[in-house]
Amino acid sequence: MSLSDLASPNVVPLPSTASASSASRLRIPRVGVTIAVAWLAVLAVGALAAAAGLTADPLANDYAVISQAPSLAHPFGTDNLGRDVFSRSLHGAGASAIVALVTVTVGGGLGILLGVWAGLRRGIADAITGFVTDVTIALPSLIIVATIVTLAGPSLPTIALTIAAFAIPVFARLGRSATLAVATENHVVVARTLGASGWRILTREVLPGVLPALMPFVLTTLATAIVAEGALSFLGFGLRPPEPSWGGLIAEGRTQLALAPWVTLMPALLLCATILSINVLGEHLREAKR
Amino acid sequence: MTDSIDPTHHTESTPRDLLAVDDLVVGYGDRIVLDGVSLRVPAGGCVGLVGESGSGKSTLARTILGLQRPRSGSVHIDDGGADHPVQMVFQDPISSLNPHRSTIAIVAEPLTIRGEGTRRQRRETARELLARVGLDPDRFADARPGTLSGGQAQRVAIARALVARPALLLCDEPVSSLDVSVQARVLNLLADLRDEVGLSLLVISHDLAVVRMIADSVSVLCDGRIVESGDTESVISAPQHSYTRQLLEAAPRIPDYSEKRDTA
Repeated sequence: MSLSDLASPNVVPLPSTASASSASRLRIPRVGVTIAVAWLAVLAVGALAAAAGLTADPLANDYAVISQAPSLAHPFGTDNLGRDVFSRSLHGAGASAIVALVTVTVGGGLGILLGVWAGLRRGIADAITGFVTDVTIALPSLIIVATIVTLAGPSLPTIALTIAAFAIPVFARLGRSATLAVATENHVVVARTLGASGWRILTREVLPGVLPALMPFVLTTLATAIVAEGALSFLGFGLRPPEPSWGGLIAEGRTQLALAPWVTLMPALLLCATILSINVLGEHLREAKR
Repeated sequence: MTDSIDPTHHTESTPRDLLAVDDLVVGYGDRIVLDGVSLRVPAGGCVGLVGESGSGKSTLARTILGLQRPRSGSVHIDDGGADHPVQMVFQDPISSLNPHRSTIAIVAEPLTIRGEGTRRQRRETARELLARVGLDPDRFADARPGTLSGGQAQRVAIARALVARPALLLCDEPVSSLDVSVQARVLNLLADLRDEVGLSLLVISHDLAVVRMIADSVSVLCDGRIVESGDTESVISAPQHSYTRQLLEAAPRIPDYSEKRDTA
């Protein structure tokens, strides 16, 4: 997975695409959903606790405990500068969460609004929006995001907003197709004949039908945004060390793999478990819609 | 013929044409769907429009509503300045109700859009109309459309149309998705409303029995042209056009709902 996954949604979460063959697919067991929710809750509490300063200082060097294996004092071990990997991983979770939430709220919000607007207006507005989204989706997003972040300086807001910008066209495209399905319903026609404003039709008649259809994709996007930030940091375009982020931590640990594998392994496990949990919830939502 | 009559003043002796459709031509691409259709609905009258699917009935409805632009010809509605001159009742009542809103909000919507009255007054009006269409407001005000039966949903749609105070109620297959037992009751409701409110009705249906029960006159639409029109009983008892005869023969039975009207 990489940032380019943002631009190639393999899920089109529209009711009409629920095929007969999907019924035979293995369903997510209830316990899996529970574990996924529990994991995300624990992680959120941990990240908040870390942000509140309840864990060890993620930047503090302690040369007495360089490259130590996981222990009670350092549950995830320490790195080659004696920093606590547990604390650094939790701090990294905060950065990932911010990137993911900004991507979904800003990128998803603007994209869906644009798509619904285009789907309702049709005509020239729709054609222009469609052309621009198609072109944007075809761009090599990872390279462009890396360039923008390098030029603008690798701060968390820059990274989050740049990744969010690349989510806009995908949400716009999905929002548009979901809108086309809803817009033909008679209650939308009635609202038009009653002279409802475009904004009222959009917010009252169309969006409530479109948003639930897009929820599975919103969850998938949380995951891809986290991975995108990880990829950026791993390649050195993300948050500058020593500021912790999951991709950056995994990248840092590469040079210490032989001596202290936990430096890479622990944040990588957190990342995998989080992505898996989010995707499990997304799939669960998709199943619930069938 | 309507020029000399005050639009707010309806008299039975000189019925003005509330809806006048003249020589309407509508097409999609190079396909002509309506080819020179003319139709009149007198004020307070009920006109039936019958035809098989594909004959252009729904296109005519969309054109009257202003959702479809005609190639030529005109649609004139003598509405006397009504905010919403035409309201429509659809074949699929569930789809005509926003599934995410309560029944009371849906019925009050025309007033909400006009910004008429306070929220409380609007809800009160909506409750009155729910009661008028035969739905207990206490039970149905907060119901979501998904929990309603087809007949109940159609009643909600009719209540909303009435709240808009239209001059013309356009019913496109208003009962064809409903159970036979419910069909007659919804048709009775429409007939009663016509008498009480002075509503004019244009009822589009493929079913001559529906039209026979409710309409004074009927026009038969075939391949985008009106092939026959006249008084409902005479068209049904002595059809002039071969297509009308086909329609009558194709109908399995023409039950006379009008006898049930008094008892329902």
